[in-house]
Amino acid sequence: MISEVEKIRDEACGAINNIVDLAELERITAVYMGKKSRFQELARSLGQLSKEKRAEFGRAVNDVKKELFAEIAARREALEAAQLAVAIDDPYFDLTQPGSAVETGSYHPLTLVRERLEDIFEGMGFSVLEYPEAESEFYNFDALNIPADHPARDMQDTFWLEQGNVLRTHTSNGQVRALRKFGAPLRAVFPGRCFRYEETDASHEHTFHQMEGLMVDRHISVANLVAMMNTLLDEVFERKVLVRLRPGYFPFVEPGFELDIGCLVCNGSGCSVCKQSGWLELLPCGLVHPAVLRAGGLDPDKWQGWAFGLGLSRLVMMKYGINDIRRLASTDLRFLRQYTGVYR
Amino acid sequence: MKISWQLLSRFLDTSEIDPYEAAERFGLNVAEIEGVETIGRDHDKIVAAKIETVASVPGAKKLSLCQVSYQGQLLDVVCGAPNVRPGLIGVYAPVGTTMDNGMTLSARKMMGVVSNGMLLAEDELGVSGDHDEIIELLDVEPGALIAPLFQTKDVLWEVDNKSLTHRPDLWGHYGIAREVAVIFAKKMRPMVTSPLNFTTGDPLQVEVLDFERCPRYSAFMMTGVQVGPSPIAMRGLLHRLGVRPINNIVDAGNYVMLVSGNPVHAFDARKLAGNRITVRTARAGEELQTLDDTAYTLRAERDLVIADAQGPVALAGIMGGAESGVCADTAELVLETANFVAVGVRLTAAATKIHTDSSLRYEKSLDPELVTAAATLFGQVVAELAPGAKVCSRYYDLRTPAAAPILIDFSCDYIRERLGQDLTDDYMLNILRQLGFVITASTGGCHQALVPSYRATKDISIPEDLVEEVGRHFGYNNITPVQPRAQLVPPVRTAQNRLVKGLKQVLVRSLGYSEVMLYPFEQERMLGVVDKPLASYVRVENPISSELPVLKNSLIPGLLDSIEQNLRNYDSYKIFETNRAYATVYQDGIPVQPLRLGLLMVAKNQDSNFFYKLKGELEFLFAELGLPQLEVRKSQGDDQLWHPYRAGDIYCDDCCLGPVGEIHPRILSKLNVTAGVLAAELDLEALAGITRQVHLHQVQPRFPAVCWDLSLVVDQGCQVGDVLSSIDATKTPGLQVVSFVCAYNGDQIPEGKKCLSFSLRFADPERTMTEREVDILFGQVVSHLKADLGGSLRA
Repeated sequence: MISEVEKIRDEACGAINNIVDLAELERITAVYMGKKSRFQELARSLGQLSKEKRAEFGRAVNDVKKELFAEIAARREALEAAQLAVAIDDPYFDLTQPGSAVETGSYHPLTLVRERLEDIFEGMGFSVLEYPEAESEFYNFDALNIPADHPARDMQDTFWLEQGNVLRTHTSNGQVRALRKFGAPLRAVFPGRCFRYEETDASHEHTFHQMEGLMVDRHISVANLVAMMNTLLDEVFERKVLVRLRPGYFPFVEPGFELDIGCLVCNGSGCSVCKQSGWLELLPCGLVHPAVLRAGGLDPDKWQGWAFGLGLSRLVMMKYGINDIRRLASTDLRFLRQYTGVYR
Repeated sequence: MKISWQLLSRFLDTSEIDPYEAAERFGLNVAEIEGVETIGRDHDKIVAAKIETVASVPGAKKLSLCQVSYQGQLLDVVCGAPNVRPGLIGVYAPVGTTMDNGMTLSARKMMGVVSNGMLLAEDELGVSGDHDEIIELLDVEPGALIAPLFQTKDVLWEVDNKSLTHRPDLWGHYGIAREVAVIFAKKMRPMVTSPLNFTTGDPLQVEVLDFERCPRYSAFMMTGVQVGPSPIAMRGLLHRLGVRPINNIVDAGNYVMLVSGNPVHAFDARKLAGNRITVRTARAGEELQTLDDTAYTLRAERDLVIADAQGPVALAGIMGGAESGVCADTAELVLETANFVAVGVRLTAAATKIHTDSSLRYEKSLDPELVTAAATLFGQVVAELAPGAKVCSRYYDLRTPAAAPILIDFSCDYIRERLGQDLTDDYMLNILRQLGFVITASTGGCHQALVPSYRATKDISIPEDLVEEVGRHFGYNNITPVQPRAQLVPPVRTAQNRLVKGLKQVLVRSLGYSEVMLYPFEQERMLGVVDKPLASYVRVENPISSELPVLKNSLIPGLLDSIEQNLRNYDSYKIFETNRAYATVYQDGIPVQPLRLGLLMVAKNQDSNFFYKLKGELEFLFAELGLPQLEVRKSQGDDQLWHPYRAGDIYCDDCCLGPVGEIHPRILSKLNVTAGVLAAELDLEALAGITRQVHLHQVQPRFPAVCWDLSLVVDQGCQVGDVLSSIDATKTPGLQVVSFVCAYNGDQIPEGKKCLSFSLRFADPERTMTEREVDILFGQVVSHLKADLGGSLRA
């Protein structure tokens, strides 16, 4: 019997040494060492032997078992090492080949700028509110101290809708709506689309975007307006911006201003962007006209405010160097897919 | 509007002021200046010079070779003008002169001859647009300097008209000069130096029938008039200011308007029938041929006219009539200086589409008190330009009583507080006085300001206006910024604003959509494609083009319009838009205009399964936004835009949000599109109103779940939703999740049937379920399905 065990051992060792893959190793292991193998059968017959023979045969079986398991383990290790060596063998792998393309979307540049501004204003305690685009004459004009005979109400500036409504000509239509709803004090911006009856070219569009700012509180002065605009514009442009006010006329503010910023391209030394003036006209603003405060249900002796109307479309064009405003209404994905980054 | 520094200098001493610096200051203190331009910078080199000889240039029919004597030399000058002749004294620009167009003259060879300098025509000297002949000087010595003779040197400002909308006083040089005088602390000279000597003659009958629209009408006559061209200096001034010189009388009128801001008009007295002037509204059927030789039918009772005994001779405040105008043999004039009310002039100008320098000014609400000075100046200038002309009538001045002066009560503290700047009382009151306000001090630091009449029409009426007057002349840039002391109030955060930000983030960052922002107007072409009744759109009364006649009532057609172009560059793409759509339903008088989300998914070579791609993305979007599971139900409407079967309405929380599905192939073929096109449109106001679900913590199961596959053969008409709700109805304990795997109707499935596969997950939180238990539960589900839907397990 011992010789038979040893014969199995010799056979098995020969077989193991010829194995070249792991699956075969597992199969051979089962054949020689599995529950139903001859070896196990012999091992199970141990009990039937006499005491002396049992000890001798037992030793032999254990020795062979140890020997074979060691052989198998060694073989497994060798095979695994060889397999790994093959698996990692890739000397010509090209690290310079570009990564696979990721399908990605894109924000409209107007959204990028608008959301950034909303963040800034929210951070300073401003509400973000939206108001109708198809608007009544009252909120677009009368409530803003633009009486019926004002030239701004002429057909050439305004889109008129059936039933005497208009497409709002500015986001200022929200001023009296917001004051009536929320009262004072109030800090809010109203972003949105506006419309002017205007032939289009590279710098004129009948549809454009604005962001109105309105702050109403007690004792608001021109000095306050300048300070707030300085702070806000520094945030918007993420740098120190020079600001200057010039007289400007808008019926819903008194006094009214045109706000210029120091040219961002040449820093005020004069270039083609600022037409050599060193200044860029950025936005109209002013102290809220008492007639507007009254229309909003407030007593102008107790409350004052300032307001501005920022041209979002223009800001977007400045920021991204877009030289034709009509591009902003484009459906051409080649244009739209440029705006994908997270930092805006 | 152009402003001449030369003309301004007639009304104040500008000898120490640089016109460029003045323009800068004017921009900061008064109104916007768009540009400053020097005219005749190099005109000191230009002189009078005599042509000695004229010869032809070989090979050039139209050119002559002139010999011009200049500084003791005879120079060859080639000239193309027809009026060259020996002995003519012309205007000569020598070599080295830089013309206003930037070109510097050099000795130039033309047709084989060298030309030294240039003999100038009027346009080249900048005194008119005339290029027909070279200038011929009379009574001028050769060698005389031209610039001082004709006052051709000037600095022009281009003032932004829009920034003067509220300042009728700035529509003439005199008013502009008044502001410059305040900026530089100079004294103003009067506009007119001496009164006119009116006679007692009373040859006219003047009446005003509509004082509401013509608060003041004045006229007088002049005789002994000789019509002819104005002197070069006058023509040059008008030309620089953009007014075409006509003749001395018309030029005088234009000059008066440019100086005073008040338009004036001269009639040929002979042509006023019945020597009668009536200011009235037009009568039915009346017509007028205006000076530009266009005939207008006037609107009865609405257009204000100046009429003689026979009919209208001028459109009040806008333009004179052709027949009554001044012509070459006019000898007697009726000179009109009037004030018309802004609204009437504006409406008539808009109706007739005649916008003139005159209507532009009247539309700003001119000061009626300006009439006297303007009329006087008119008489003076006519007498200067048409020597021999004399006033020969009394001064007809018909008017309503002058408006009561505007008085504004204010305190210096109030102005300081509004500006937020500590200025002295004296400083502020002084600015107001210089601007023409009369200040009377009363008790307790309160003052009263009397507004000058030229600022009292539509300009200054409230204390805030005085804040502006002081602020702008102090200089807004000199104000020290001070942060406001504001009350702390938490901002309003609207659900819709949050929703829009969130969904854009998911669509762009997770799902790969690109955002577009289109116009609110529907393309006429798309109206034809979607074929909805026109009454369902809000109409634009004055569309910018006939191609954009109405407002969109859906975002989808606009998105569809992108397909043809983009398929040239891409095989598939996804875009979205959040914008408003307009309904012909009115709330508080304005159209209901819900904010919508429009989605478009386009890909070439798609089958009916394409639908589930968009549905899956919407399900993902809703989950990301924390919204309950969406459902797509068969649409109740019959919108022709959609595929009859592969489209439906999206519901969430039992609220209909809008359509989703495949665009009808008929629509696509009208758009020349052959790709698969899916779209959806969601009402964001409704979506923002749905309560978002907070995800509550769930304990992770300790015991393994068992998944069993269920392949059910059912009728073609049976839907996944039917199976799911049927399974749901069994309320089987331990059945945690039923997920749809696939639908199949291949070879092994009998005709009229299909196979739907699901995966059923069973688990018990307390213990591991045995195979036997699951087998029983699964069997119950299957027998329920068989009974409920008539399905059978797939063999």
